[in-house]
Amino acid sequence: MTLSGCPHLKALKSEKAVDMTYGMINCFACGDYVYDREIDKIARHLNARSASQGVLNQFVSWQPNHKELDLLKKNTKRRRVEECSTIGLRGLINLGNTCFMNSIVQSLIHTPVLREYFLADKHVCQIAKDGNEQCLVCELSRIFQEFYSGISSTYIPFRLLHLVWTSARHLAGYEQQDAHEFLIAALDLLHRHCIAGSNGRSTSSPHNCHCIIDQIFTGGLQSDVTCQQCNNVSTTIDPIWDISLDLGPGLYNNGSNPSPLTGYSNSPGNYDPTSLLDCLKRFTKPEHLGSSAKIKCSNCGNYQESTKQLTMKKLPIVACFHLKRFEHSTGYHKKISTYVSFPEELDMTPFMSSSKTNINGSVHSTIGLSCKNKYSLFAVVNHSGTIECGHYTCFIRQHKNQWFKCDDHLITRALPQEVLNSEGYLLFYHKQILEYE
Amino acid sequence: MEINPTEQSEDCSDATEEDFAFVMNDIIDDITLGLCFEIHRSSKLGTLFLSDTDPQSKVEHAIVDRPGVDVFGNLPAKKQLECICPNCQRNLAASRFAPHLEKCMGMGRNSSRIASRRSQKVLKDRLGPDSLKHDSGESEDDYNDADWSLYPDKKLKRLRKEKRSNSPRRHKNSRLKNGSSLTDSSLHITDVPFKHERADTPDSIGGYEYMTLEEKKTLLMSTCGVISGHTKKMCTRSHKCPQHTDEQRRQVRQFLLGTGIHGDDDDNVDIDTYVDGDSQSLRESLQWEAASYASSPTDSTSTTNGNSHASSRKRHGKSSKSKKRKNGKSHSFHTTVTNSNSNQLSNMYEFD
Repeated sequence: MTLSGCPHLKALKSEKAVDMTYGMINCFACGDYVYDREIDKIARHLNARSASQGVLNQFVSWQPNHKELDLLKKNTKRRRVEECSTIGLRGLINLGNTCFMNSIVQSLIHTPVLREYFLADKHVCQIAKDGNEQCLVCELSRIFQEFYSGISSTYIPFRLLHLVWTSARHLAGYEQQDAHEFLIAALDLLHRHCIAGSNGRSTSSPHNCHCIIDQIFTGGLQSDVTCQQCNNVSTTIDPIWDISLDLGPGLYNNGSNPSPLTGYSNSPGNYDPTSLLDCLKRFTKPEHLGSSAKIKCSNCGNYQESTKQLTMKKLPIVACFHLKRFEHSTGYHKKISTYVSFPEELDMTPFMSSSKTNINGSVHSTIGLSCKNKYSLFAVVNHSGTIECGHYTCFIRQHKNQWFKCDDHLITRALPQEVLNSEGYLLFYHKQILEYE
Repeated sequence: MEINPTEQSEDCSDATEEDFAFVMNDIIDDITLGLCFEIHRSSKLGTLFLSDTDPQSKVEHAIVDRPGVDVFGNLPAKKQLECICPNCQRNLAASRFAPHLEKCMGMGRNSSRIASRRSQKVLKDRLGPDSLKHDSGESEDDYNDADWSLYPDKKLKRLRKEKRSNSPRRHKNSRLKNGSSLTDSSLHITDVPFKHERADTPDSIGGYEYMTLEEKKTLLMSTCGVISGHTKKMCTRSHKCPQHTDEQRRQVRQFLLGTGIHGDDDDNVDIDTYVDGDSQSLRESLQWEAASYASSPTDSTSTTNGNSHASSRKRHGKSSKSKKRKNGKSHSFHTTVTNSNSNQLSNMYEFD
């Protein structure tokens, strides 16, 4: 059946021309381009085949079929994510000390790539038994639909809580939890439910896991240990989901033993970091391991003092920075409430392995027109109160620069300045430019 | 598609400006043509304006920018929302879901075990599935009260102090009589509970004849206590239990204690009615509990190892039993609890 109704196509009576770029068919008898369902089908099939042979897959937008077309015409209500609409915003009820979960859920729901993934209905459940009851990814998918359904009443994430409690026993229990711990556990569960069922692949290393969680959140942290004796460097790369940053005064370079490799003159070791950049500089600074931690060098075979440096080998699409505000030392626990400024836009280039400090201490700068390592802030989780008892709230960005504060069931508009002046516990940055893999 | 003319120019610096313009124009032409085809196609197939917003929805979902209300235009008042527990299918207030679930899933403390057992057995078997809906209102709260106030925290502390010296041995004996220590009963999960379920329904207990005066007092302080003429068992629901009248309650107190005593309500710490503002004191009491028992749920929080989980749970089961021992219940009730304990243990393993 031909949708376009060109009578000449079937009979092959008249002459036709084909556009060489897009493959459109022009019927001379009609004097117009014609669209035939069967030819479309063949074209799509051929496209898919060429894609499997290594040619870059063309994006094919969704085409409604007959039934869907009818439904769309009959029902004129549309939910559209627009500049000034509340679609995508929804409060979450506190189920009893579950503000830590609500903050993380809000952050995940407003992660742009994750949202595209779920709203494009890309999740194919691998667990699939018991009516998807046990799959956390399916549950997250349902929550996405709830958020974008246009319903403005408070959402009750009780099924999510039940699922998390049954899947991760260490998070279960009616008590206040750490939002960071929950985030990592939630990512781990989502990752495991993504790859569950796909036999064999579940054992593959996190470096090349292709589940959506690893595609978005996994970065590569390079650790270089340099032998002081022979300058041999041994390198390992670890997958990470978040970057935990120390806030307290520097422990290693406490004035007495300044590392000869200190590359950053503007951040002395025994100095409380006051900005995210400070923290990152400290994180990636070469660190003298000291005489008590001698490591056997694989090159010269001796136990030698060495220096260690952490750098980013691979940047994740979503970088999650965890400011270690909760200090657990032997005998005391306290919260560090120092103000740490963080930018709306962050360039990770100085912290990449490719631009790490040279031996002579100069920063190998690759500052150019490249903005491929640039990130923008899209969610901030805040903790107020003390270490024993407190409350989590969350700022999220919707659209380009609209910020909202999510305090459990209450969603209010926030100013960008308000967000940047907040204390900050978990900071979520999103890569500005995504590359083809 | 992204076009970056600056990068192109870097690659081939010897090409002329005209060449660039040509290539550039060609690319732009192609993209324009593609867009035209897209529009033409959707117009011919009738999908062109299908995804447009309808004006009504646009107004409906507009962000409200007024002080004092949230983005939806609602006042920041907390609404009472309800949800159905996926574990026991009961209807309950959403803001109390987490504390309920903890008990329902058999984590945390004693009362949970009764809650879970009751919700599954009593509501389904005794009242039938039809009454589930009916139960969600006032009477459900009374049910909860009965459970939680059975072991109020403060009272536990006091009882522990009082009974530390004499109670364990007595109850060890009673346990042996019934032949179901914790480890034993966990092996007999299937048969043991049934026996006692019939004898002592969860809402009533027998064996009050053997209690000391102190134990009776304690029990009656928090429960209805009316003795059924049919089963000769005591009602363990709260003072507000709708099944019995105040007069019946007064009579049973006279009968058991010789004189009417008044349950001192100050002593009842009703965990279920704790609101957010009380969380500090609740936490303190929780911490007190954690400190007083070497094994508590917090022990297992950091471990992910399956073995250590199992063992910590077992320890936990024991500790909760010892709590009950000090509470000084009659032995038959005590074993019911032990059985439900083991029931819970088996439930917990299923989650793994």
